[in-house]
Amino acid sequence: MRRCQLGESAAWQALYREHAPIVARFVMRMLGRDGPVEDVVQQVFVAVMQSIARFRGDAALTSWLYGIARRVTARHIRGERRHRRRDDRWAREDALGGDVPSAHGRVAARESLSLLERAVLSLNEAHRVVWVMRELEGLSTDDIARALDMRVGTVRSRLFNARKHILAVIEVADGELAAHVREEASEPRARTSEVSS
Amino acid sequence: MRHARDDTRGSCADTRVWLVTRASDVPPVAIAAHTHGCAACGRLVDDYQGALERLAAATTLASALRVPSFAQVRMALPLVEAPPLWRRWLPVVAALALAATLVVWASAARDLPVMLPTAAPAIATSIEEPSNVWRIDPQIATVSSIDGELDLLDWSRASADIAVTHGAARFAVAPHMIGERFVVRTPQATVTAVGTEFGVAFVDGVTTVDVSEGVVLVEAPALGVEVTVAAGSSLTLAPLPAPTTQSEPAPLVEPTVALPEVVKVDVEGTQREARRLLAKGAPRQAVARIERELTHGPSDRLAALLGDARRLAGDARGAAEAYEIASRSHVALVRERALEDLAATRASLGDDVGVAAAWERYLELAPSGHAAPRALAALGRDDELLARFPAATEASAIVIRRARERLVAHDWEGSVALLTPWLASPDASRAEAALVGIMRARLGQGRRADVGTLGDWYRTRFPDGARRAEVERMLAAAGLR
Repeated sequence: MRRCQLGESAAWQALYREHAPIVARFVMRMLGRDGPVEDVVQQVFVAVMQSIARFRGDAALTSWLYGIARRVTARHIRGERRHRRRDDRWAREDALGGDVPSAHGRVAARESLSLLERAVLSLNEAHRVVWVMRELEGLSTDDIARALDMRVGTVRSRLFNARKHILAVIEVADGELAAHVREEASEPRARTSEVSS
Repeated sequence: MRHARDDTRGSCADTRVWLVTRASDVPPVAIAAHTHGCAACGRLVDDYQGALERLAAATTLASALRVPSFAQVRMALPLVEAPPLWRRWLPVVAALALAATLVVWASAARDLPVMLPTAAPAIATSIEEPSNVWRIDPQIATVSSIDGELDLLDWSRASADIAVTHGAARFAVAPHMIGERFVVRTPQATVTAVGTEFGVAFVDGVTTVDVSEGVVLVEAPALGVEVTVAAGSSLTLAPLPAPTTQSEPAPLVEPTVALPEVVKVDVEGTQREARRLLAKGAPRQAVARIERELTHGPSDRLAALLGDARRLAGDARGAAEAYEIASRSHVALVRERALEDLAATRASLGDDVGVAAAWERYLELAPSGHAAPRALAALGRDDELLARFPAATEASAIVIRRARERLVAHDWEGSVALLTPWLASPDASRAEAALVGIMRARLGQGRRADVGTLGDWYRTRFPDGARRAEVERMLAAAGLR
């Protein structure tokens, strides 16, 4: 790091070789497999190069990189929303277009992957980043809180809401599961009415 | 059918609460019992977990990752330079001057003889410059790993010319030099940087060029070679029939190619101009320039460059046509490269038949060429690929696929036997894949202790590994987290 801070090209290359794949993986998970991953990774490392002097080593380098990658990715997502572009990059296989196929068809691996991808991309950035870091990157809630500079409670709450949203998408897409949820939701009311009556 | 809570079995609502609040993938006993009996909840859990694993795997594949080259990042930034030497040493010099002043002042005050140090004390610097690095002007390039004899023929901001008379060296060219003239020559060939980082070796009359960033143009007029070598590739030129002495760099030999097409077409001038336009990010202008020149007559070398330019301009179909022409060149290397590019371009067009035809032609031309593993993989000749190129990346993909098939078929020992040799592989990605695959097999066998040992090993060996999330999930599934 010291050599990077002094502008040593070889040190930069070593740092890049080691960490660019991690950043690229994270960015791809945030933006989708057809997202502009290369551009965003480039922007992340430009930001890293410009702010390396401010890295004091208080946090792990990976956490610091995640923090920068998150800021750049968030900026990109906000920009996209401003342009009202429909974000359906992960739905390349068009598995969910049109009518929902049978419940048995839903469990096909390709379709469930596509469904999850769409569900993740429909999350807002604040929830998506927490979900990606926890479920795909395998970070602990403490690590996520450090990387995103937020409280552990906030991380847990966003993770809870993100998972809830994704489960809801999965349930709605599966007619049988949706019926199950409706049945379950109506049951307590029936019971309440029984009690009240 | 909704299942109500009882003492031993959770309810549907409990299952949902567990799914959104869980700290691990292993459900509590009550939830596990419930999902075993409630088909809908069981499927919900399986759908979520299964899709999660597939998504993690799909976004972990090295082939899916698109990482820009370091050169691209550097070019997007004003050059990050080391501070000038005087600025690095300024605080030290200031501190020494202050100390000397204090010594003089204190000595004078006490009327004692002044003993100034005769030499500045040795000051350790955290930057240890290897002795085999030239850093004459980092704004032009850094020359490192020098193992041999080099001559600087020209070295300025507008042009640099270096002769490798014997041995090897690596060159990292500063971004602003791209588009300028940066040439490294051996007695056999000239290597012109269009990208930024490459190595040139000239040993026993053989020139080897390997490129780690960007693209370089290699010209060996005596061999009739003129090809571009891209990042990740290398090129070895056969020795000249009568090697000359290596003590002096060969004088610049202007290509004296006597091809019929060169009579009318200005190949060299057009190439230079087109490459400059490409380096400046103007592929459409480069296409126009080459096409204009080709109206004077055919040229297979210009056709290859036209393919590159059209591809960069987004015209894949036009690029394929140009590569097709270049693939009939009389120069073997040009043919090989053109066929590789032709296969890649046709693949981007979804022309599977055309891709297979291009690779078949490639294998006929260069059965052991550097792209042969890729060709065999594209043609589905897996066994031949494994036998002939066991260290190739494509061979890795085949082994991983086969191991995965065995895992799916619950052939645990079969997959372990396939992957175990990779544990000692110097290739980190192979070792990592093997470790995770074996861990999965042990999990399937219910050997928790082995899963734990392998998990610890993984964490130690690959602290930032790409498959970390998968490993953590397996540890959780084994109840070890």
